[in-house]
Amino acid sequence: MRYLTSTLGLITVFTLLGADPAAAQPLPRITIAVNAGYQPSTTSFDDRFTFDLNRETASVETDYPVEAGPLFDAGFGYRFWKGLGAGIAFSRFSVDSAVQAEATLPHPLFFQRNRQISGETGGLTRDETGIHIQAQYHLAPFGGLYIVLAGGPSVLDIKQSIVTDVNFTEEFPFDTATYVGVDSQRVTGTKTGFNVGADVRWMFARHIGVGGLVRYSHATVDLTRNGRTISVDAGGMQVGGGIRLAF
Amino acid sequence: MPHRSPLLAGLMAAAATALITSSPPLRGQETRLQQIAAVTPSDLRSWDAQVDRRIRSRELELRLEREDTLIAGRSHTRYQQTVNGVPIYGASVARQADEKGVTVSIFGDLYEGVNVATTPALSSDRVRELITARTGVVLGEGREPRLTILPRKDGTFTLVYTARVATPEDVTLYFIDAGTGAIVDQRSDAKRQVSSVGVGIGVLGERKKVSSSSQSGTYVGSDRLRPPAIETYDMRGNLNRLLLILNGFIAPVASDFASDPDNDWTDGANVDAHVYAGYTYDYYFKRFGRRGLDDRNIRMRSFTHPVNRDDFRTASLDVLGTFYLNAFYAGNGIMVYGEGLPPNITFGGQRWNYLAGSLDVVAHELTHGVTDYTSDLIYENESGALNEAFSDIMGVSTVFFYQQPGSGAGTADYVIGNDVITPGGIRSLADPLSFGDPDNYRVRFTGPEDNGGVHINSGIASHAFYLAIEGGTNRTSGLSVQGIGAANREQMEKVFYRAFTQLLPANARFATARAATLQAAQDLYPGNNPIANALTQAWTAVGVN
Repeated sequence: MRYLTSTLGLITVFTLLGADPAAAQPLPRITIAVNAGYQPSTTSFDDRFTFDLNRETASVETDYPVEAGPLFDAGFGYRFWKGLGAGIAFSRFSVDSAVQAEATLPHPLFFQRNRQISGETGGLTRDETGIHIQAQYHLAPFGGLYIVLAGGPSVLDIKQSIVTDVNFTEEFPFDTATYVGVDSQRVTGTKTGFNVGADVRWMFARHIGVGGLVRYSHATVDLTRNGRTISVDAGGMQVGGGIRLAF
Repeated sequence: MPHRSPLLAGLMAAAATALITSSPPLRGQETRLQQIAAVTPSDLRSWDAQVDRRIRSRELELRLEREDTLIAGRSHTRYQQTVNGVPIYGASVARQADEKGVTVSIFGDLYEGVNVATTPALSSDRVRELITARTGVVLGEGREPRLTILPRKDGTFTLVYTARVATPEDVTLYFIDAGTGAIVDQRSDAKRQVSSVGVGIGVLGERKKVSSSSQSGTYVGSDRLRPPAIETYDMRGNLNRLLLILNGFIAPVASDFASDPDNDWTDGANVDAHVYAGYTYDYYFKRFGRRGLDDRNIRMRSFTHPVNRDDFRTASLDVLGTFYLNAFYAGNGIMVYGEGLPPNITFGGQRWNYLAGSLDVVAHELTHGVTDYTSDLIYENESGALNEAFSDIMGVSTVFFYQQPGSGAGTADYVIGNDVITPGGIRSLADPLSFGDPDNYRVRFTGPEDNGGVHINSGIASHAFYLAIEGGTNRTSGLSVQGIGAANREQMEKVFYRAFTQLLPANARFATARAATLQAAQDLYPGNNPIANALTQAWTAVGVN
């Protein structure tokens, strides 16, 4: 899927290279976009870890949903020849999600009498920062409407709260335990992926306008904590709108 | 485990609300904990400079300076991290220097970027009032609540007062929010043994968890997980010392504890005496809601290895019978478990392993404690036989609670002691005659031996218990019983428990036991004819009317 999307994006770009949109109407050399947006795609990942408890092995399984959330995006583009240009964009996505945790806890007094606990704890934060390097192609303007197609590599950085311990209460006779919550720690990972997208702007004045952005980016980021690695999908569909400056 | 609880919500609501609105923000922002373990030259250079800088800025305050008592010339200095003179709980540095003043090591925990207001909204007098309202304890002048910054799990800090409050139950360290008066944390501060979970190999070689405690660098047979203190002492063959303890001349001390250096216990007698005492406590609690022998969590103390096995050849017959081939309840929650005989030696055609290695034996002895604190059945003649019968009944019931029915070691059956006294065990509830014991009141033993047959005649009542559950035919009377079935054993256990602990008088006779169990069945399961019928048939079958 990743390579298919990249290939389609590049085919689109190169197919359009034959046109000379600047001949019809002058295109700006520099474009700046600032967007407020939304990352509508939801995803999830899970994790499992074990630790020694009561002379046996306890295990914790966690399921992390990553909800849709608000997005900030800013980009800069430079058209250097005909419709061809290059750009760089910065995006930041941040959302709090609730983690589902299930733990198997060995009994303190007997072998093979595990207690099961489960619960949900909110407030686990996912911060996603993307730097998107883009090859851009500016289509011929249609009235005051400008369209830029873009694609290229993305560097996606994730800061994710990962569950490191589960808290519970128990009391004699210890046949049951009660879920209290989890301890978590922020773990960071960075990976290079790709992005494809389009920007549409309408210039209501010579240098200023409004526009909309659609972008898909993706990378699989490895988060490492206590020697175990969790592979997490980063990126996804991003949509936004905001101010456009053109010079 | 968290210890969070709201404090005096109703009592202090109005005052706290007023204080919250007027108090400065007391919670800080996220920060970073630096855990220092500097021993290499480069680390020491870096941390030495940092520590000095923090001392100059008064972020670190001198707490303690001591000469090294083991290495001449060395000194140790401890610093407490503070914010505006208020200490951060648990944040300190220990610096070791040589005779030239050169730093040798630095260990510590310091927080970086602590941002918390250090002016409390509540006065220490107000906190005293809160503590008194909460605990009933009025703190003396020397127990001033101390302003402290408490690092929280979420990375923030809270300005609190700490106060150590002693009650008859515990010594508790309270952390009280200096802005709201809420208890943000509390913990037991009594310095005691710390519970731990060990693993042990029992007499029969099976692996089980041992609830032990760490004490002075070793692990001892002291169970701190269960509500009562369950302790196991290893007498290491010192019979004279054991007798002094049993007779109240001396008390066992810490060095008497059964112990293991790494918590992987290998002395089977110690393991089983300790673990099975806990199992028996659990059985009584889970089955009957009973809290220990006296129902008030009396301390349970087991004594193992009262003699040396290899000394059996020189032991008197009394010592042999009491401390080698016997286990007994000595009153006041004390059990003594016999040492058994070397594996190649038989007595009465049987091999005798450590008596503590049999769960039914342990539960049997502990049940004598239950009887002591309830019906107190007089230990002679029929009441004594009922006393022994009840111990056997609860002994096998405890085993059935934990083990699957079967006939081998480590399985549940109706024979007492057959895990450690092989072959055969010492008594059978299913077939007393197979051990030469009467199974019917008509053929009961009436001589003076055995305190009037307390062990010999116990099979009459315990056989009735067996028949009432499993059904069958009494060999002497030939009468058959329709039992309630093994799946319903819990009901019959409760009937006998109720009758023997709550209804029977101290000098009860077999006939009294019959009536009491029927009454108990009526109390617990009114209108349940199968139980009443099984009981009636069982007592009739064993000749008790």
